[in-house]
This record gives sequence, C-alpha cells and structure tokens, in this order.
Amino acid sequence: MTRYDRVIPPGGTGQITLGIDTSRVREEFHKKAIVWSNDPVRKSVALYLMGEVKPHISLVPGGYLALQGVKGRVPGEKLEIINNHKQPFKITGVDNDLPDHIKWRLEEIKPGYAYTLAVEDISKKAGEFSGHLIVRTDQPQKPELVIIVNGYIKEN
Amino acid sequence: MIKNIIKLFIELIFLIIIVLFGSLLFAEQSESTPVIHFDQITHTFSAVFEGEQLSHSFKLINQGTADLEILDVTHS
Repeated sequence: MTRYDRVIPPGGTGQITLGIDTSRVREEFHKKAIVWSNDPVRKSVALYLMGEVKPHISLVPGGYLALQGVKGRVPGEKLEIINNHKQPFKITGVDNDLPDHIKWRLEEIKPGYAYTLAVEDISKKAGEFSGHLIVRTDQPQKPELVIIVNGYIKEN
Repeated sequence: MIKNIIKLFIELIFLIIIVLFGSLLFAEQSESTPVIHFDQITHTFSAVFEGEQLSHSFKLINQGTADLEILDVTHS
C-alpha cells in the first residue's frame, strides 16, 4: 500500500505513506521504495522501512521432518512447538494423513507455551512417502500448523 | 584614426557579448525549481506478529521555488 501527495507547492509539506502486509514476511525485513520527482537535482530519493515480524507460534527447527533409514530401525524425529504470545494456548488436536507410515506423540514441556512433537516410522514396507501432520490450536491467529513429513525407508 | 574606431568597435562587440552571456546565465540561475527534502529517509518498526498491517508516513518539504511533483513511487 502506497499513498502520496502528488503536488507540493514551494515551502509546502507532503507525505509519502508506505505500508507492509506482514502476512508474507518472516523475521527481519528491509524494504526500499524510490520516490521519483521533478526536482532536477535529486530526481529520485530512496526510503527504507525496517522491522521484525514474529510468528505467533514457532516450529523449531522448522516445519519439516524427514524419517530416513532401514525399515524397523528408522530414527525418530521431533520438533518443538513454541508459543510466542504471553497468553497460553492449547493444542486441541493433531491430524495425520499418513496413518500407515507414522505415529506421533505430543509432550508438554511448559503447558500452554512449549510442546515437543515426536514422530516415528511404522511403515510395513520400504519406500518413500510424503504427507502432513496438522496441529490444531485454540489460538485464533494461528488455528493450525502444518508440518510436512517425508519418509525414505530402505529394505533390510 | 580608423584603426582606433575599429578597435573601439571590436571592444564594444566584446562588451555586448559579455553582457548578453551574463544576463542569460543570470536568467538560468534565477529560474524557479522544486527542491525535494526529507528530514528522515529510514524508519524502523518495533517487532510485530505476522499478519499485522504496518504503515509509516515520511514527511517531505519542497524547499524550492516551483511546484514539486511526485511522479511515482516504486518498490524494490
């Protein structure tokens, strides 16, 4: 979103308003806008906006788990779910679209603020699979978290 | 005598040229122009949660003697 005064008389003041939708911005950001005018000496002026966007809930180290190994001996993987708000939240459910390949376990580290989600491979056959775990929360800004799960299971 | 008249004539021509150039230069310098000025060209927002709408208004002053026209604002 950009708004600006088109004509400023001599001695007058004007405004250039720049906006940022942070829905698609992560962590620290630097945005640059260039103002073009009829000033013969300074035809363009660069303006800079900086800041930091925090996720409502963080997935550490990330929203992706890879299960790799020999069938029956695949090391489990886990991630942490961290609430970045002061208000606690609840995990109301976890949906799994890979019921034949994985089982999950949720542990509370700090109720309302930090959880561990552990995933194990239970595949009966070797092969590759890909799917999701959907973690549902009661936090209105982030009612669900999508975790991608990929498996690369080898035969003995 | 004629030599002196020619010399005087040449000097007069030179003088006219100098005066003409000077007045042209002066006219050019005094032509009114806009001058854009920002007190601040950077702004740092405090940390926010994803999904919030942020906006900031940069103030500018026209320090020149003609209308300042903002032609475009582009993003990179």
